[in-house]
Order: sequence, then structure tokens, then C-alpha cells
Amino acid sequence: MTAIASFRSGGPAGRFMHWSAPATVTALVAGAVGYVALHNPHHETLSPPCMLLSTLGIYCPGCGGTRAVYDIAHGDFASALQMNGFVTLLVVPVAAAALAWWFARAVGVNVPSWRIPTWLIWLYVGALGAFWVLRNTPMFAPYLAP
Amino acid sequence: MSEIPPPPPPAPAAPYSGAAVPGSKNWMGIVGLILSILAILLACCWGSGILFAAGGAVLGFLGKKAADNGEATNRGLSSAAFILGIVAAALSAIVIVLGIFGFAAADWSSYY
Repeated sequence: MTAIASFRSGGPAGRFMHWSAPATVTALVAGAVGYVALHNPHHETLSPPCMLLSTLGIYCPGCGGTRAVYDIAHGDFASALQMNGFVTLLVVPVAAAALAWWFARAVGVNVPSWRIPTWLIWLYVGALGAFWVLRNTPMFAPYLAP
Repeated sequence: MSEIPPPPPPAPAAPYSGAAVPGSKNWMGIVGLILSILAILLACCWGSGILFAAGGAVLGFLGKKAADNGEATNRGLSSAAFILGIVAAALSAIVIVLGIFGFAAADWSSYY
């Protein structure tokens, strides 16, 4: 009981436990981004080919995401937006903010706690779906497809 | 000679796990939702999103049950995680099937 109470209140053991989770996730993300930043995905094939693109010729919502991450890491935001606007505007900043928030909370900085409304989740997923459809239309492909 | 009455038996300790702490299982919905959204983004990568989708759907399901038991207050998030996890699993399955049939036709020089 006391051990759990100390874990909850951020006692010596609890503080380490809370701190280690965001640190692990940040290290994994940083490692992946670092790997991409060192291997230009515009010219190098980092992974086996995309099955959706090679069989049906459809861009999935993540297509161009690796190139966008590379571009952001190198400061080329215009190219990142061209490669994948959704990842550039709605995945990378949200993930960075969420990691920063998690970290600050874990080390005891008093950050505001915010309850995610359910409608926002559906709006986000709806935007993802709309992005997927629009980037495969001839009209919007010049702006949204990699 | 009156007998000294035995001391009353100690009250049984309150079961710790029995108490439903509201919000103590909110992490299920949040983590499940993150996994499910990651799964949708990764569904195209040879269907690897199916691993995250499974985790997201299971956590969403458990989170909904926790909300019904009063241990979580974010039933909406858990519900979204559950539905999105299933959607992501379906998308991943489609991509896996495409991969099986289209492997030979794949363009090995395409980029992500």
C-alpha cells in the first residue's frame, strides 16, 4: 500500500518509474529519426517497397512520411509539406508536443492537464481519411501526393 | 468467576483491489488510442500496423469495460481506440493480402 502510494505521489522509486517510460519512448523515436536523417530517403531505399503503391498504385496516408521526416530534420519544411502535409503538420508537431508534455509531467513540472474530447479524435481521423482520398485525386495530387 | 471476554476479532482488511478508483484505468483508453492511430499510419507498411491494431483494440475494449466498472472516466476515447483498432486491422489485412499476391510485381526502387 505504501509502495503504491509512493509510486502514485512520485516518491523516490515512483519518480524513476515515471521518468523511465517517456525517456525510453523518446530514445526510440530519436533513434528512428536519427537513422532517417542520416539516410536520404529521397535517393535511398530504406525498406522493402510499398505494396499498396506497387499493386494498386494508391498513395496511403503515410506515403512520403519518411521523406517528410528527413526534410524536417534537415530544416526543409517546404519539401516536407510537399512530401506529406499530414505528417508534417499533424503528426510530427503533435507527437513532439505530447512527448514534451509527458516528460515535463514525469519530472514534476506543473503542466496543465487537458482532457482530449472525443470529437477531436474523430475530427483527426476524419482529416486523415480526407487526406488519403484527396491525395489520390488528380485535382489535389500535385499538392498532397509525394 | 466471570471469564474475560475474548477481544473482538480484528476487522477484515479492506481489499485494496476491490476499490474502484475513478480514472485509475484511464491510461488504457489513451494508450489504446495512440496505438490504434499508429496502426492506421503503419497499415500500409506491409500490414505491420496489425500488431499495433491488436494492442489498440484490446486496450480499447478493456478501457470500455473499466469505464463501465467506474475505474475509468474516458469511455469515449476507449471506444474510439477499439473501433479504430479494428479498422486498422482490416486495412492491414487488405495490405497483407495485396502483398502476398503482388509481391512479384513490386517495384523495389520505390521510396517512402
